[in-house]
Amino acid sequence: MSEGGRVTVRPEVAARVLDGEAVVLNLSNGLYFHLEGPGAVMWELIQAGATVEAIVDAVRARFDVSAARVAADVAALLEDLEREALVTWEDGLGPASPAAPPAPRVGRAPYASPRVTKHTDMAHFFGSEPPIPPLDAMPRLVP
Amino acid sequence: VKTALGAVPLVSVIVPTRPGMPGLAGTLDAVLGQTHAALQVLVLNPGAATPAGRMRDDARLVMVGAGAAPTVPEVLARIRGELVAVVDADDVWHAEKLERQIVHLRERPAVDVSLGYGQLFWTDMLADGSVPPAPRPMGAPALSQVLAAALVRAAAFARVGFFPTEPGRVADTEWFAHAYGCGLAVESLDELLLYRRLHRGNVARRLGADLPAALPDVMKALLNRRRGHPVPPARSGRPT
Repeated sequence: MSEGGRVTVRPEVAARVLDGEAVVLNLSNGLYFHLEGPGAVMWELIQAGATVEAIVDAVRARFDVSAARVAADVAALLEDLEREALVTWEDGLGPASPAAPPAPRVGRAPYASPRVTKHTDMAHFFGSEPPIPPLDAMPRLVP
Repeated sequence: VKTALGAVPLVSVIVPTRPGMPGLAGTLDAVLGQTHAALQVLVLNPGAATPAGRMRDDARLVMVGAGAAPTVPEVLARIRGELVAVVDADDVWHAEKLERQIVHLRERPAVDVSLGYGQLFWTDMLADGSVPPAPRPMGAPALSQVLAAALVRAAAFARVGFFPTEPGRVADTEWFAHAYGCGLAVESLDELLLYRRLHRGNVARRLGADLPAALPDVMKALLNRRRGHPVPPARSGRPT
């Protein structure tokens, strides 16, 4: 993984971070997901358009975790998110940055590897109705 | 506790509107023309709209509010039906919608909410506000999880918040999410029961960003409810 890789949230995804939990909904299939703790922080950074490198640095600044572990976790998380069609991940956009210096350990929260929890119970709810066509595709009425 | 439906169950039909909402007359015509005639029709916030023609003399029609949406307790205080339905003034029911759903709920006493299929159709209004005679269907009929497709046992409202009293698809989604979270049994007939009218006004509204932006909040509330966390009631509120 190049740490300069760019991640983009797909346009059919709606998401918010509420009470430290990221709730991510794929409007095209009705599947929704939640991530807590470091996973929610990572999602918030992804949604803000951060590079992989910036995500790793930001997580290390907030949690007590090694650079190697968080880099591996971010890569695994991105693979999960890409598999669920929530993000696109363009790897190798640039050379990997030099390793960041160790962040001070004081005041950092305990770390746990992110986990994407998938919910399928509402898929039938969002997936049943046809999408509303764009306004300019509507037939013109001749009065 | 499930109770059997009466021989001819009264259905309270809620019609949330905004003043000047186009299509209301056609919607009410389809409601009052149902083959199941035991109805109480509550038109919320009718504004300046006045029933015309045969509707004017139909004692089943009750106009509630004048310029402002009534509160949920005000609506609940008026409901007398053992079954409740809601229809947006943009939508039109199949003439046998209620009859078929009553049979469904009678045959399936464990089901709280009967749904059906809906189909979009396009009728841009003429300049005078009237509807052209030949609406154009758009797409195939599909399971329609909107409140206008539902018939609900009134007892279910003790478990989940009441219907929203203002029109809007976000509110529909929120209500269904709470209903699923509360464990209501929802089952659909494989029959086309609802025609959903598209016109320039509601297409622009439905294409707006409010629905996707609001959905994660709805899903969060659903997750919290499942975890037993205290959550605010649905926007529509709980019956008091």
